This record gives sequence, structure tokens and C-alpha cells, in this order.
Amino acid sequence: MVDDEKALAKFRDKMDRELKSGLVSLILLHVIHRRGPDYGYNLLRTIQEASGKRLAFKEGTAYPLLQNLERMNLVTSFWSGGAGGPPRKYYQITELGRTALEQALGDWSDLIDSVQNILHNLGNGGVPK
Amino acid sequence: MTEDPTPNRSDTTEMIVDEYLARVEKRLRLREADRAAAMTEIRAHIEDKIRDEQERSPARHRADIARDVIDDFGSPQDIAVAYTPEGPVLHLPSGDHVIRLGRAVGRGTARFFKIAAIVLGVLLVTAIGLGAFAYAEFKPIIAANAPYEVFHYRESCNPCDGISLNEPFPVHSRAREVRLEVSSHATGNGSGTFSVDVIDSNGTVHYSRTYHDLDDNNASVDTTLPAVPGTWRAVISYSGYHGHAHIEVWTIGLPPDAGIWEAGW
Repeated sequence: MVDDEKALAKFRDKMDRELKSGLVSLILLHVIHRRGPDYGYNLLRTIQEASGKRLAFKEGTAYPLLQNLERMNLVTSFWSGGAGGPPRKYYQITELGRTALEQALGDWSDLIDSVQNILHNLGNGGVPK
Repeated sequence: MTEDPTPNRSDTTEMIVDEYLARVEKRLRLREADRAAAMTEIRAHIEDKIRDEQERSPARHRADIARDVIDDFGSPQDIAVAYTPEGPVLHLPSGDHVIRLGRAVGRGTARFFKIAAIVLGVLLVTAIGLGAFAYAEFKPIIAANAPYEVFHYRESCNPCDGISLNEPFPVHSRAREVRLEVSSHATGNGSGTFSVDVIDSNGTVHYSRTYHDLDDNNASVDTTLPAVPGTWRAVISYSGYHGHAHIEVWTIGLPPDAGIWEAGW
């Protein structure tokens, strides 16, 4: 039984990671697009609040994703000093970023439709024994 | 009254945050400027979140809030991995770990060879520089002391009757001395002889010897003669001689038109 529980936990963990793969980048890009220039902490707080704190991931791993978006020229950044606080790095979306976001949201929508079709066509009344 | 050495809660919070940031910074494999920028961004995030959480829960100890914020942010190891070029490992399917490892090894190997090539290049340039310096510095010394072959004769016959030679060879003006080497190896117990005369440009005989095969079997001589510039001659003759004759003449000091690579060490 203990082994079964471990296997289930491992499966859920793996599913969780795979489902989130790439998704956080898409969400970050979307939030930057919607909010305009903003810095990392505010972007992540917006995501957590908008998801009802159900999208759990380590916040520290989001900053490298922002860096990757910047490397791909999907966002640009600039530093601005806070009032009495530390300097903050603001991110804003580029034209290329908007195009990429539009395409990615389309892909995401198609993926959701596909998954829902599969679940609908095969029935979703529980997993048969 | 003595001062309480125990740090207050605010100091403790700073210590917790600073210690955590130091561990993150230590693990980040980024260029210095990128690392500094990343650390500034991370520090701002953590301080902002501690401040917000403190406002939400004023009764909680700030140090406890800091620990929670750090826990939410992630372990230094996870963050360091996430900053690698392929992005966060946490968001990759497990099969990609192998690919990432392969890439990392490949990058490491490529970096090693790149550094090795640079080091070898630097060593090569240094060696060429030192060689050029040594060549310029020591060329006069080498030219004055290097041996330079001006005459070489080798004969092997049985018998050598009828052979008679009168061979010229040059002794240049820069020669410091002339060195003569003669060796013979007679075969059998015949009665033949083998004679060598070395004469300078003025007709002065500097060396003259007749080798008798019975007496001088395996004879060898190495002698130094005065360096008289001009055309010298080696006169060699045989009479019923059976065996081998080998004569070499060297000048010590290279001719003016010879490079040091022509030295006959």
C-alpha cells in the first residue's frame, strides 16, 4: 500500500510538472501583456491571486523564465528605482511577444479542445475498473 | 549596564535573508553582471513579499515570515538549475534530464577544449617569441663555435689499388680551427697501405700519415689543425690496401653565408 501511495504521488508530481511545462511562460507573457510594464514580484502576485493560489510553483524558478522571454525578444526590460526601495526590473511585452502570445493562446485553446473532445467522446463518468 | 548581544528580530530576519541570498548567489553560474542583476531582482522580490506578508499578518514574527517567503521562493539549487540555458528543470519532463545532462557535458567538454586551445596558442606564441629571441641573442656565439663539414670522403675496396685522389676543400675566413678525422678498417692481413696528406692553400702539409693494415687495423685519429683560409687539398693514395677509409674535415665556425641550422652537431 505504501508503494502504491508513492507511485500515485510520483505520477501526480510528474503530471503536474509536465502540465506546467511551458505553461508558466505563457501565463507570464499574458500577464505582462495585460498589466503593462511591471516587475517580477507584482507579476507573480497577480498570477497567484488570479489563480486563487492554485497554480503552485516555486517563485524563484519564474525569474529565469522571464530571462528566457527576454532572450527570445518576447519582452524587454528596464530598471527603475522604487521610492526608498531597491531598484526593480520592469518587463514589458514586445511586438514579437504579442504575436507569440496570440499564437500560443491559440495553441492552448486547441489543446484544451482536443483534450475535452477525448474526454467527452470516450465518456468522463469515471475510470472503468 | 552591558549591551544585550542577542540580535533583535529585525536583525535575525536580515541575517536569514542575507544567508539565503548568499547561498543562491554562490550557486548561480552566470556572468558577473547577469548574476548581480539577478540577485538584485531576487532580493527585491523577497523583501517586497516579506513586507506584504507582514502587513497582512502583523502579529507574526518577521523572521518566521522570512522563512516562509524563502521556502516559497525555492531552494538555491532549484533556482541555480532554473538559470541554466535550457531553463527550469522543474518544468521539464524527466526524460529531458538526460538530454540536459548530455548538453551540459558537451558544453563542458567544448569549454575545456576551447580553454586548452587558448592555452596552447599562448604557449606556442611564447615559445616562438623565446625562440626568436634566443636565435637573435645566441646566433653569433653559435656561428663562432659550431662545427661545419667542409670535406667528406668514404671508400671501401678490396683491394684499392689504382685509386689516387687529390681533393680540394674550402677553409673559410671565419673558421677558428680545422678538425680532421680519419678512420680505417683493414680486412685481412694483406700488405697494403693507405696514406693521407692534408695540405693548406700555401702548400704547407699539416697532416701526413700512412696506415699499414697490419699495424693500424681499426686506426682512428681526431686532430686539430690551424685555420688557414683558402683552398686546402686532401691527397689520398692506396697500395694493395684492403678495407675501408673514412676522412672528414670540419671547420669550427660557420661560413658567413651559412645559417646556424647548417651546423653539424
